[in-house]
Amino acid sequence: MLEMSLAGDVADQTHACYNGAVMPEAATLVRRMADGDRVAFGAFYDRYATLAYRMIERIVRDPEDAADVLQDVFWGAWEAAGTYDPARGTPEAWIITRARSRAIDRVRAVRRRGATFVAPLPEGAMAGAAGSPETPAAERVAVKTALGELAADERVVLELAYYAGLTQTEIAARLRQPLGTVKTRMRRGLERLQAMLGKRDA
Amino acid sequence: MTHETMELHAAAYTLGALDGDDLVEFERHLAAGCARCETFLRDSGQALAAAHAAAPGGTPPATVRAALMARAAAHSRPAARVPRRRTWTWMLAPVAAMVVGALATSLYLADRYERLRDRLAEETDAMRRVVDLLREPGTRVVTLAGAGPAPQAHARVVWHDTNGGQIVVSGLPAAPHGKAYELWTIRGGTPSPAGVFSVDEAGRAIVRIPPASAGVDVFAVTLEPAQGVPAPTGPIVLASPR
Repeated sequence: MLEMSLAGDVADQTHACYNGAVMPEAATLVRRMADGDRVAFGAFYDRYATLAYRMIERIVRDPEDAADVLQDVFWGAWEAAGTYDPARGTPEAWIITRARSRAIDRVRAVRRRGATFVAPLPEGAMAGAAGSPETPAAERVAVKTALGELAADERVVLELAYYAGLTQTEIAARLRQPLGTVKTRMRRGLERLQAMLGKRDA
Repeated sequence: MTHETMELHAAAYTLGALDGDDLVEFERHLAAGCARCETFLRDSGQALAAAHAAAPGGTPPATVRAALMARAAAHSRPAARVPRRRTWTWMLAPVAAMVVGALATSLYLADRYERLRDRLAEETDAMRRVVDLLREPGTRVVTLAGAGPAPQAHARVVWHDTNGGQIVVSGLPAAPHGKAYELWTIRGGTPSPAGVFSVDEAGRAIVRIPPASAGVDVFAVTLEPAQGVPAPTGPIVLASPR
């Protein structure tokens, strides 16, 4: 089940393996970027742009904004390539983290401009939070990602934090759950995700 | 406080969801060094990235790649410039000379621009760190007055008991050759070294001060040998009131 859900999309997009075992060329690309190698920059972009774009698109929603943020993210990566530390994670995790935080910054900036703007909820989170049957869209996301393998209550807190950029306090308020419950679900969800993806690569 | 509390904090931290006192508490825990939490953060980040890799969605417009490549070409760094060999005929020689001249000028300008940009980036980072610190409710600002050989110098320390702080220095003359300024956090009359720094040509500096576990009564700066010393030996140039 897990194999099926992950194999297709992952195989052609990610060259980095879980558990820190990076295929040498990914980290090498970043090192060459740090030396100012534009060819390496192009190759790095080709490898991770779709991955990063999907993360950004999921958070900011507007395709034009997403393209704008994508350019920011990769320009930032080009300039900060010298600060990449392989001991702290793969280039994949590095670029994804940068993409997520830039996208959330963008959503927050929009929220500040219009006081009524509320960060969009990921489809899966809404369905799970309300306890209603999942929409076809949510189901599509759930089936295709490892997040979908988690129990609904764990997935919801992970998605609200990771994709909607809410803090633990905001999540507790929104779900009307005690803070301790929210935190326990986050921990359990992440542990389960690690176990699943570790198994996949083993 | 058990490590279990930290494990819950670590999960929220990975997701960027930790806030309030929990965040302060966990960052203090990380700063003290915790291999278990570091491993959890790294592995969780990796797992989230891998989980996300399977997410469906669109593909980025081709214009983004083109814009990035053009931008990188315009801002190329020295290592990126690969000299190209060409064969010139004599008719092209004057043109070549002009091109070489223009290229030399643009390389010179690009290099100056690079250095200016790096310096601006450093300054922006330093200012951001000061502003971030000022946002913390527990942060206080301590004024240091010039003393001894530098009566016109002044400085402020933006200080948070658990996060440490930043010292913002003005009007301090450049240290003589082989010397540097050293910062001290003093508690109960005992100074602890808190870093060596130099000032720019305008006599200014912004320097990070690590948190002091025992607390701080007085901040002081002395002139010391460039490599720094474990206890002050030189004249005091800046000090906060007791």
